[in-house]
Amino acid sequence: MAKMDPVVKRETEYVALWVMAVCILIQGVCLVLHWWNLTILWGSLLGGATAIGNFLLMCRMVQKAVLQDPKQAKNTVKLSQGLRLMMQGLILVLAAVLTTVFNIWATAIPLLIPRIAISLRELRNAKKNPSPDRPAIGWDDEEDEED
Amino acid sequence: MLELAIGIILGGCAIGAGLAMIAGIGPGIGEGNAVAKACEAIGRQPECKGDVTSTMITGCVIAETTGLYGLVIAILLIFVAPKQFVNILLENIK
Repeated sequence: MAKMDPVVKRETEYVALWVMAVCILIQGVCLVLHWWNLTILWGSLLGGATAIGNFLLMCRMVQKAVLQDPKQAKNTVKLSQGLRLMMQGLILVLAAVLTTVFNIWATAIPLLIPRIAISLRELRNAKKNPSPDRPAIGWDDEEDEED
Repeated sequence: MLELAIGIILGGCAIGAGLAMIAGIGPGIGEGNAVAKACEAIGRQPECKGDVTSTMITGCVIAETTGLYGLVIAILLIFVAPKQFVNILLENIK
C-alpha cells in the first residue's frame, strides 16, 4: 500500500474533526429535544465512520490517480466514484432497513458534512486572502474596445 | 379507490427515486475529467503536485456530494416517504 501523502493526512484529519463534531452535535440536540435513543447513537456512528472512510478512500484515489496517465486516471476515478457511491447506498439501505438499530436521519446527515466542511474552509480562506483586484473595466472602455 | 391512491403514492416515490439517481452519473464523469487535467498539470509542473492534489481533493468532494444528495433523497423516497404519505392519506380519509 502506498504511503499516505501529508496533504491527504491533513485533509482527512480536518474532515474527521468536523464529522465528529457534527455527530456530537446531533447527540446533543436530540438529548435536549428528548428524542435521544440508542438508534441515534448507532446511526451517527455508522454515518460518521462511512463519511470519514469515504473521504479517506477518495483522497487515496486522487493521490494514486494524479500519478497515472490522463486516460487511465479518468477510468480509475469513474470506477472509484461508482464503487464508493454504491457503498454509501448500501450503508443507507442498511440503516433504512434496520430501523430498530439505526436512525436513518442520524446516518444520512454525517455523510453530507465533508462538503460543508470544505466549503466553509474555502470561504474562510477567500475572506483571509482575497484575490488581487483586477483592473476595473468600465462600460465605456468595453465600448471603446469594440469600436 | 384507496388501493389506487396508495399505488400512485408508491409509484410516484419510485419514479422520484429513479430521477434523483440521475444525479449519480454526472459527478463520476466530471471528476474523471478534472483528474485527467490535474495529471496533465502535474506532468508539466511536477513541483506543484501538493497544491494540485489539495485542489483536486476539494473539487472532488464538492462534485461528489451532488451525487450523494441524489442518493440520500432516493433512499428516503423509497424507505421513508411512502410510509409518511400513506399515513397522511389514511388520516385525511378518517
